[in-house]
Amino acid sequence: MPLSSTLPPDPTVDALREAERRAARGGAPRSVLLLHLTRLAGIEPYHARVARAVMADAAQRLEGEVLRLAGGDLVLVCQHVPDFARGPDDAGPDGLPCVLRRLFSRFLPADGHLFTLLHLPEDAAAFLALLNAMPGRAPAAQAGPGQDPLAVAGVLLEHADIEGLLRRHLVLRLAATGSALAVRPVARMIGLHLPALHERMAAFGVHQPDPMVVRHLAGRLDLRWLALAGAGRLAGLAPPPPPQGALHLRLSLQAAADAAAGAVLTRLREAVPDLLVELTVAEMVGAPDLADAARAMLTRHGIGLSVGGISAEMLTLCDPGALPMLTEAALLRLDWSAGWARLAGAARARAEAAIGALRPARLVLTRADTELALAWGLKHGIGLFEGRQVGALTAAARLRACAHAAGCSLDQCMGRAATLSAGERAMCRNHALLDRGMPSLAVTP
Amino acid sequence: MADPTEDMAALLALLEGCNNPGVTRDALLIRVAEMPPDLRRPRHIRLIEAALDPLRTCDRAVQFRLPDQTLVMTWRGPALAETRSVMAGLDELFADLPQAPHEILALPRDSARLARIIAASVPVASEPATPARQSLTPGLLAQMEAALAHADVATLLRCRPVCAFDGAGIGRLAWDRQGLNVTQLAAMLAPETDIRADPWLFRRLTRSFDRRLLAAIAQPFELRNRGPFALDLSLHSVLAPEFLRFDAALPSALRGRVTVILLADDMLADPTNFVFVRDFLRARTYRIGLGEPRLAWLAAFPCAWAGVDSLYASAEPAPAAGLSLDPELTARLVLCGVTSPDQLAWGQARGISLFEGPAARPDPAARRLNLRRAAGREMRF
Repeated sequence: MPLSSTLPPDPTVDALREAERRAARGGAPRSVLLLHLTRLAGIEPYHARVARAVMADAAQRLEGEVLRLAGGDLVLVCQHVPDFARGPDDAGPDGLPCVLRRLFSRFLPADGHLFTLLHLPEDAAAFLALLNAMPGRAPAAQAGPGQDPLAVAGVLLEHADIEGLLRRHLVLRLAATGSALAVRPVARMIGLHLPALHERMAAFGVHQPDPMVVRHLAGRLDLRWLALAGAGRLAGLAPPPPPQGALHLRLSLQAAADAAAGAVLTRLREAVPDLLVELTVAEMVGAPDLADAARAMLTRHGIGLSVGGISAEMLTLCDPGALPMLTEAALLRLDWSAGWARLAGAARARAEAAIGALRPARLVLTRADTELALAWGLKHGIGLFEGRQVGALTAAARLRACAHAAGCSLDQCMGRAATLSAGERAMCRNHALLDRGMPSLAVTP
Repeated sequence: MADPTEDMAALLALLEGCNNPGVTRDALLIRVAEMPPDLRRPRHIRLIEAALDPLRTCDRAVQFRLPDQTLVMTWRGPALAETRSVMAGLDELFADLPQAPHEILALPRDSARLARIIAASVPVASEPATPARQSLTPGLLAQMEAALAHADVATLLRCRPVCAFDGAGIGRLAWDRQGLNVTQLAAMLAPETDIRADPWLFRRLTRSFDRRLLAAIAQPFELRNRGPFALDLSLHSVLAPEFLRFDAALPSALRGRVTVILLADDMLADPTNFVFVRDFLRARTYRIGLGEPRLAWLAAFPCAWAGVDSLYASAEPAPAAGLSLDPELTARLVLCGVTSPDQLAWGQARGISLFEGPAARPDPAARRLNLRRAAGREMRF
């Protein structure tokens, strides 16, 4: 007996059974639209709120009501609408299926159905089968009192272990040479790791941090780690060995425009001639005056600009290549995501044209976590890569070359190479190789 | 930081000394007060001061700050390389300003002029001294949000008219841009706080303001007999319960006549949610605007790509002289923050017909006519 059968009954299911009984006894025929929100990926409470608002509007027009099942799915029970299509692929004159599909299809797994549409009494058997398959009422989650993200921000600014929030990654140049892939590290990227910051906030009970509070926090934390770097108290800042070694620093706009940070950057620039600072395009457009100050600061100190935060979805909505800060940037960082594979038709053509306009030679494909991402990048003329797949390639090369590698796993080597935390770095017995990144190698794809 | 009054006295003493035979100085003057307010915050002043660094190594180099924030750096003797380096740095910093705020004076030749500048820097005695303002912090923001929950914002609602100008230069009210008076509201909640010092905390604060605005205008009497209007909202504000309540309260007569202006950087930061919000707003019959990229950036935001009806771009900073705008774009463009007839003329010369700002008010006769037609016609894209 499944454990779910021991749960108390869901009152919404009971209400739906009663609706079916009334229709079967000769009552007014009804239409039922069940929106499978629980089948969708990446759904937040506000998505459910919007779905309910859209369905409630239809309910008002169609003399119906919207019910919420215990699991989270929503049900519209309304007057019988014969044209309110029988299959999920038909929009119907009412337009609700069409609207729901437009809003939520992007969250649906490839082979899933967004909603089920039934009419009573003729679909009673299918309706009852659907109800019988529903679990009982799950115990209500005991949501603790929500923590104030502003208070948590204050605590984190005071007490965050800054080294634990930083990550460093190699930027590799990959080039197909015959049947092999030539791999060469060209730069080291260092910056605040936002997922780590989100984890810290979640530990304080803030599970959906306000993006603006996160940006503020990132700005303040960037200033802290730059101060540590300026005082020589941050290990692992070295770039890959020359002649190709460059250092890329991912900074918030506020840090890049700060005078004290500018002094640190100037000193770093003296030690590492090829120094780039990465800013995100969204922040630069959102605070243009601050962006101007940051750009002036970088130019004055001879530091290059790299612009990141460019995604597939963004390239379908606008043409960032027309922005002056992207035109003047030495490097652009393009985020790989599954979204690239989903692009089709005009959106795909537009995004691919935009990549061409951005000039692939100055693109770094970030979040290159899979072989698919590497192949996609190489196909589009991109030569620079960063991400887990890159980390795995370099860690594998280190493990092969390292005399102390016995007992080290690939994940451990990747983790130690990425951290600036002294405790984690201490687990490695070959810091020279760890900080160099990798020996030169060529791998067969 | 030195007291500006003491600095002023010291500079006057130096000026007097230059009247003695053989005593000369060069002075670099930066009139900070002439720069736009957004560019004279402490971080900008620090940047300017950093750019002056090469001159600090010169003989008798001294920096003064006058009461109106004017910076004066004086030094003795030729310092060609240092001066060239500093001027290059300043030219770059001020590249976007219509008029450079810096110049070099030679003393004693320009003593009288500098003395006038010093005298003009003293505030009028009857004006109360401006209290020192603290920057917004997470703690202060939390206090402001708590106070906002109990604040009466009804008196702080304001409408900024968007006007359509015809070929004869007559402005007609097209719709209102509805919002809260943010400056007054901030002054009410935290009078001694510079709420714009941190752009991201300010944005978080404006989202809290959005929710209060939506709650205020969702009152039935607020939406009764309203003409078309526009609301500036963040993506999160559209997804908040307050917007859904406002949407539920929106009379059918206003359906299709309310524009929601989403921010361009929200679109760049979260394109997935932007598309979700845009499609939701479309389904609920709203028109959609995109605001407020700089004029020089408009080529990056074609309306058709973003799926929006209109673009709202700020007249400041002034774009480069040769900026040309696509006619298809100008037909959907609202030029905002128009404060001078020159800006209005600039826009009209480029085919823009929709303007918002103190210098783009509706013609009184046209306004009366428009008010009578408030329930009927409005500009449509």
